[in-house]
Amino acid sequence: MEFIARKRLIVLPLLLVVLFIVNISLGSVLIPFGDVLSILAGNEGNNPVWSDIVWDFRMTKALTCILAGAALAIGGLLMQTLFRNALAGPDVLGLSSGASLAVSLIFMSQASGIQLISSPSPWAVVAAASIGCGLVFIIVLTISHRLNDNTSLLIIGLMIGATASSLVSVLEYLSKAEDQQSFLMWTFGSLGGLNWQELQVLGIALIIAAGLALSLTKPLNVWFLGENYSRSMGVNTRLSRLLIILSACLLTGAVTAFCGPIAFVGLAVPHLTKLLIKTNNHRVLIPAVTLAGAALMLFCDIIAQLPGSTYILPINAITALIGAPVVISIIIRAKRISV
Amino acid sequence: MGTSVLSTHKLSIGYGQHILFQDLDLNLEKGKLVCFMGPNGVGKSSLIRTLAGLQKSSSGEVALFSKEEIHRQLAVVLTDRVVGSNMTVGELISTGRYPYLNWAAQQTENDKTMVADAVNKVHLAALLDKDINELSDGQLQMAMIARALAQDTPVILMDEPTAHLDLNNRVEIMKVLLQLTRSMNKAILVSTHELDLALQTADEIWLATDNKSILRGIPEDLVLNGAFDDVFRFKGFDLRTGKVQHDVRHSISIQVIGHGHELLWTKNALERNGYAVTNDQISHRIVIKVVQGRTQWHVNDSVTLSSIKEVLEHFEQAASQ
Repeated sequence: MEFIARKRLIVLPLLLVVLFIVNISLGSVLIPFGDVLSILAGNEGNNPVWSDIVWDFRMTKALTCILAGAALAIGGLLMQTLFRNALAGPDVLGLSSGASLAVSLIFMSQASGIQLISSPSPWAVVAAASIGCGLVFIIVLTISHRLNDNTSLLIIGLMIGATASSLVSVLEYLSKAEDQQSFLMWTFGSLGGLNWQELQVLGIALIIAAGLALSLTKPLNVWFLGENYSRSMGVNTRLSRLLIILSACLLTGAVTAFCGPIAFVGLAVPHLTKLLIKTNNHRVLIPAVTLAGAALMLFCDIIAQLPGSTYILPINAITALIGAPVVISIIIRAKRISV
Repeated sequence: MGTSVLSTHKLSIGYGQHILFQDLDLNLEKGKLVCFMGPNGVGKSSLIRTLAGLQKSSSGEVALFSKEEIHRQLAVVLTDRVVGSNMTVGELISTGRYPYLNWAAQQTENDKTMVADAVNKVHLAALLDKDINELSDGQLQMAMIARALAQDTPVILMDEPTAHLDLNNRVEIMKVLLQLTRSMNKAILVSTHELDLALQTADEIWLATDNKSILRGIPEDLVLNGAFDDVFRFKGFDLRTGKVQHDVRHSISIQVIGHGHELLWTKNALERNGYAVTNDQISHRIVIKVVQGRTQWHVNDSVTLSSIKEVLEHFEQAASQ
């Protein structure tokens, strides 16, 4: 079993490399494939502008895809394990909405002259989004302790999400049109537009949170057994739960802060990965969903570029197209999975 | 007296003002199978969780007779439903090794040996790579028992491991548990509703009584001194004979002469249908004979019948006349 899992794990990095190269070579400006490779190899290329396009636009966007996809996928995996529910995910449980609310508070307050923070540095936005995420997470988790019923939990997640969204709408209504524009664009989800400094922040946040998730391999592996069994084997469930939430919020928060609330990736990737690698061992699963999440995001971005045209579709439209069928398939296939 | 591995001192449990058990002084011994019985809602699960350190007691204490951490001394099989997707039986059982693994959850050769041993003890080797969602209830319960075995603890506490299983699986599980106490010297506490099985397998019975205490004794003593009757208030079940009491509905009383299983089941059929089976003041007599390998029932030395069904039909006619 472990051996097969390892063998299949090789597929993912290969897929990632291929998608990365394809992603870099496509865009609104046609650059011959040979030139792309040559620019990547460190040469100037036939047109000096091409070098800038590849390095400062396409490369940052592709890296954003990789980091965001990986982060959302790990976040989704952590939530599905924590809630013992194949349908848990950052957007489903209202975490993205919580992050949206926090970010919109910063955006709009900035515009209306109220200084919540002195200057919105990338870290401040990440922190705000993570805190927004964390607050919703804690609300959902508190309620989940009382309910012990996954269906109700999901519905409550949706309701909390709806509440946060409506608060965002109120903020929008109260703010000026030009501020709305930037926020509205943010909610569509965008993978372009990150500079190298922001990428660095996203990367560091991912490394910290992923490292934390990996260090939780042991409790994560037995989490499906439930609270009592876990504690009977010596799992410190309280501490583990806190750290899992921390990691999931940092991952979701960081991505949501920079790229907007990207739906379905966190939900779909762990599920798709488990189709490929049949294991519950998070020592294998965490690296696997990291690779798969990055690959799926690159793929979605390739489609969003609408190859051959100058339009770029909102990334959320594409992820939903891929994610929605996955949700339906989970519900249809999971005859004995309680939802 | 065997070696005690777990004991309680003046243990009380309950929720707030609602006290379930008070001042319990219990102990579990190595190599003994203890069945814990009592009416529904008396607090059996709560006591098991408290003994396992999963629930706080109101007062008093639970003591383990070894300095090792509790997770290497005590394993549990609970009624909590286990839902895992993408989970093989092997993976499920391996989780029992949790207290022995490093942070990366890597199994050593020793871990693998312990898991393999546990699997063999419950005869699940053929199902190792099967998804746990494809198991029958009985197989899943066996896997949970193997998981507890893999934890390699001297004490195992089980909360109704035979609930919702068919008779065959119930018997198999109790036999496996009995074997574990004998071959591995484990101390096993099982809460159960299976009175008949408990009477035939348990070394000791804990009987939860109305006055928030637990009556302890070997099964046979508790049967004869009427303790079970006091607690369960049987309706139409005679524990001393181990049978359901049937009301006599016919004036016919029958003497049955024969031996072995044929005698037993003939009497069962007659009593079930409301005939008195007796040796005094008989109105009819059945003699069971085996002739050339076939069983025959001779009624009043005049009629020869070849099945119990025919015997019943014969008396049905006699009764209606």
